Formats: sequence, structure tokens, C-alpha cells
Amino acid sequence: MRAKLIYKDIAPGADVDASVITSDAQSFCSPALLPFDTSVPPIITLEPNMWLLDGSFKLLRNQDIPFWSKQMSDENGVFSTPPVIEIEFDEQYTTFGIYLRFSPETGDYCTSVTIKWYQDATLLDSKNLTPTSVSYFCANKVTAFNKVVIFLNATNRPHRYARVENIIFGIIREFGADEFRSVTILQELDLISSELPISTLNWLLVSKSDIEYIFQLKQPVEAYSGSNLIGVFYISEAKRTGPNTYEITCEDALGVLDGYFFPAAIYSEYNAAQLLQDIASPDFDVEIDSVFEDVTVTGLIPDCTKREAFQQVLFAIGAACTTAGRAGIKVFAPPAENPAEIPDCRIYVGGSMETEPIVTAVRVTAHTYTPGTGSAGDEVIEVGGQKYVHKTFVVTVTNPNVTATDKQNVITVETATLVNPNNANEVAQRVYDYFMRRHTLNERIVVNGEQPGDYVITSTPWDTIVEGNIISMLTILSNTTASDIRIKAKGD
Amino acid sequence: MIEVIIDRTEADVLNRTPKGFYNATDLNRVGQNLQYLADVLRGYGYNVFVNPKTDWTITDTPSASDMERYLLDLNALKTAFYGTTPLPDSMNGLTYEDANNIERLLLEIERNISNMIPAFRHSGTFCSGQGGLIL
Repeated sequence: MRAKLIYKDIAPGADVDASVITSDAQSFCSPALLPFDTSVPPIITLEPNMWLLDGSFKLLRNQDIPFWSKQMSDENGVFSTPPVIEIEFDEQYTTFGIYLRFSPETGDYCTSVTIKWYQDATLLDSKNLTPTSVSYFCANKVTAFNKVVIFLNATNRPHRYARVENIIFGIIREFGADEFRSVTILQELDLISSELPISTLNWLLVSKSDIEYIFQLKQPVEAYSGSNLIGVFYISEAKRTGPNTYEITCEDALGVLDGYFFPAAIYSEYNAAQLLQDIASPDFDVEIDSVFEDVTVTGLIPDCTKREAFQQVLFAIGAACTTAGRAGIKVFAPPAENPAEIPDCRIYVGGSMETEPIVTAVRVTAHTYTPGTGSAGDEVIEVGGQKYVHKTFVVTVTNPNVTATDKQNVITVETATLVNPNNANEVAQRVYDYFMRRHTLNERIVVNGEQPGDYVITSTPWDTIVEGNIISMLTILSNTTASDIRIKAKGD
Repeated sequence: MIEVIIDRTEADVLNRTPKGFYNATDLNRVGQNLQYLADVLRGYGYNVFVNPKTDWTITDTPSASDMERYLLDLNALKTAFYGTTPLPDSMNGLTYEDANNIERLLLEIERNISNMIPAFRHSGTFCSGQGGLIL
């Protein structure tokens, strides 16, 4: 399968920072969607020869339509007064150009566009463009702009509304295996979220073009094997090592969340799904397994990073999360039945099994936070200007099968501050059950859609059968995608 | 009745000929023919009332309720008189076959009306007292 990396050479944050201003859009349009990736289906209008009788056109209802002009172009496709879209930013951005997507579904586009870049009231640059297709990149490096004004002067067909679906500040570039080297993707998860590993993509670009790249932090890179999205990663470090050579390090959404502060707050029976969405927004969508829809959390999330806050919630509710195969984050209960088989024909020779020492007990500390100042000797914390008395107690689950010769090995969980008297026993048992899964199988497979978290059944090099969850995949991306996987085996 | 279009083909759609599209002129023609046939039928005592829009322009964007009304009127005509040509359930996803059927129905009704007229008994062809009882 053909491997590829899609690098979105865009101004990070420009989409959410953009304020779209226009008085030339039809009333049912949502111009605020323009910086985002919105696809508009074919919609029925009476513009001449628009409503094709192929069964694909739908009536206008509540579809997301970023921009259709109020005015219609004339018999030559020209607007007497060009529709104008103005985009303002709070911050200043530098890009190599602007990408416009008009209307791929209907084949309509603008054949004449003028773009002006401003820094406040100062005109930095202006371009008259003649797009020739439904997607068009205006290559023009402009530094430190905070306003863009786009004039749509003409359409490719007569008597048409100007349609624009997406405006991207930058360009999307695709690299095949002939341009990248040593692409290593490490995707990991923890089944009980006692850790929240950051998945990474490290790659070396040996560019065949003379374009000079300015890799910017948090720009997205999508990794594909054939048409399968392996994951979306965000640039965390880039180094130019030659005229056309760049070393790039990327992290997944959890790595991005690790760079944001999350302020302390006390929660009382707060919906966990909502809290996860709150933490990840506005940067990432969170898809949450329906089993967690009505689960609530109670306790404290201290000042921490967004990633740590995310972990607190996941650990308290017994969820895992992954960024594999998606742009956002998936929160789910790790499956433990109906394993998918990894047949011997996809397993490389070799492999090994690690076995952790016996855990003799698990001790989980539960926390309560009561408003007030308490009495002498109480631990009092302040959150959001409110004082709370913090009390703790410990729940212990002991391994009944420990023998006199086993070395004491106690797992302690003390700082999970959403563990409270109501869920402490359940959490302690979950942690205990997890650490009873002592065996981890390492093997290299030819990937066929497997992802971290999947429940699989496979054989060891010594022909025993192992059933368990994939907790790690190390993939060397090439046109044959093989991964070194780690399977946390079920049973002790 | 204005001449109908019932010969749209898949090739029209694939080659994007004018017949492969549904335009304001199509809606207006159907509306005018619908009104004409409803008027004719009412003249023969049929209880059919329709209110088709016949002034569509290229700047219009038909709403869901507009197109529901369009099909309701066609169905009203079909129900009040008689027709066998199927109509689409919705204008969503309209195909060239659906568009043909809409106008084929109008043509069918016009032909049925034409066939009905010669079968009418005209005044003076009945004779009173031919065996019937008059109380």
C-alpha cells in the first residue's frame, strides 16, 4: 500500500482566530465556517443548468453552507459589484499563500479573485488571481498580516452565485515515499489511563522541490498507509539539516494538550463526557463511547496541563483514549471480548514476552473536598477563591495468592484527585485487575487495520495463544506497513 | 398544453446537455400545464384545486415546502382524475426518469381527458319515457 504524509503548511491557530465579516452572503450561509473544512453537498437552485438530474441534488434545508453570494453573476459570469469576504485576526500570521476551495460538488469556481493582505490599516500586498479549478492555491508569501480581504470578481459559469467552501491560510502538501525517509510512528495507550502516553511521528523529509519550508509548531501532518489514516500529528520540532533535508518531530493531540494550562477546579457530579470536551476544546473533537454518556466525576482537578486534566478524568471513570486513525481523540472502554485474529501469516519471525513482577497489593487514595476552613490540623486548599477542607482515605486491594517468598510490590495511586469515596473501590479493583495482567507480548506484524486498544488473539513464537489488547504500535512507514506491537495479555 | 419533455436520457445527464438539468423553465412549464389541466377538469365538473407557482426565475432557490407543494398539486390532479404514471416521493435526489414521469403524467391525463370527451352523451340523445318509471 502506498504510504504518504500530508503536511498542512498552514498558519496554526489562524482558523480559530479568524473572524469572517461579510454582508454579501445569503441569509442561510454561515461565513464563520469558511476557515474550517466544510463540504457542501449539491443543493437545488434554479441557476441555469445547475440542478443536474443525476439524483445527487438535495433541497436546501439546514446544510452547513459557508458562503454563497447574494448577488448572481451576469451572462458573462461577471459581478457588477464583486462580493467581498473580509477576514480579521487577533494575532499576526505569516503564510506562503492562501488556499481557496470553491464548490467541488458542482464544479463551480471563481475565475477572477482579488486578495489583499493588511497589517491593521496598512496594505501589505495585493494579488489579482485567475483560478482555473474548484481548488486553487494563491502562492504569495506575506509576513505578519492580520487582515485579508477577498473580492470574488467573476464565476466560471454565467448566472451563478459565487460559492466558497473553505479558505485555508497556507497550503496542503503531500509527500510520497520518494520524498520521506525513516518515518517512525509510535502510538501508545494505557488501558486504565494510569499514564497518558503521547504518540509521536518522526520523519526526515528529502524534498525534491526547491521550496523552502518553514515548519511551524502545531502544524498538522497526517500519516496514511494507502487510504487508511494512521493518525494526525502536530509538529513539535523541526530542524533543517541540508539544502533540501528537514528532520521533523511531531506529537499527537495529547501532546498538543500538554502545552496548554488547565486551571484548578472542583467538580461535583459533573458530566465526565462534557468535562472531557471542555478540556479538549477548542482544538480537538472528542468522540466518547456511549457507555460513558451519563458518568459523572466529583473531586478536584488541580492546576495542571490539559493533558493531565484529561488523564484525571479518564482514570476516574475507567476509560482509555487514542488518537489513532482520527484527527481528534477517541475515549472508549477497552474491549475484552470477541478478539480479532492476527494470523501467523502476518507475524514476523521472532517476538518476545515480558512478565512483570507479582503485585502484592494496590492502594488507592480517595479524596474529599468540603467547602470551609475546617479546624486545626485540617489540610485546607483554595480553589477559585473558595477554601476547601481536603481529606483522604486509602482503599486497598490485596492479592490473595501472594506467597511468603514473593517480594512486596505495592502499587500506590495517591494523586488521582477525582477518586472519591463513591468510586474508590471500583477504581482500586480496576487498577488491581490491570496489574494482574502481567504478560506483554512483543511481536512484529504486517498491519491490517489494527490500532492501539484493539482486542486481538495471536500466537507466540513458541506456539502458545495470547489474547489481549494492543497497547503500543511502532510503525516504520513504507509502502509495506509493518508494526512492532505490544499486547497486554489477558490473565496472569 | 405546452409541449412536454419526456425524453430525457442518461446520456443527457452524463453529457450535461440542457435536458440533463431541471431549470426554472421546467418548473414553470409543469406548473402551467398543471393549471391548464386542472381548469379543464373543473370545467367537466371535477373537484380539483391546485395553485402551482408559474413564475420561477433563475434567482430562486426552491425551498422544501415549495417542492412539497409542487408534488402535492401534481398528486391532487392525479387523484382527482386518473393517471397511472408514478410520481417521485420527493424532489430530493430527482433523476431524469422522475422528471420524465412528472410530465408523462400530465400527458397521460391530457390524453385521458381527450379520450373521455367523445364518450360523453350529448343533450338530445336521451329520450324520456323509454321504460323508466317516473313517480
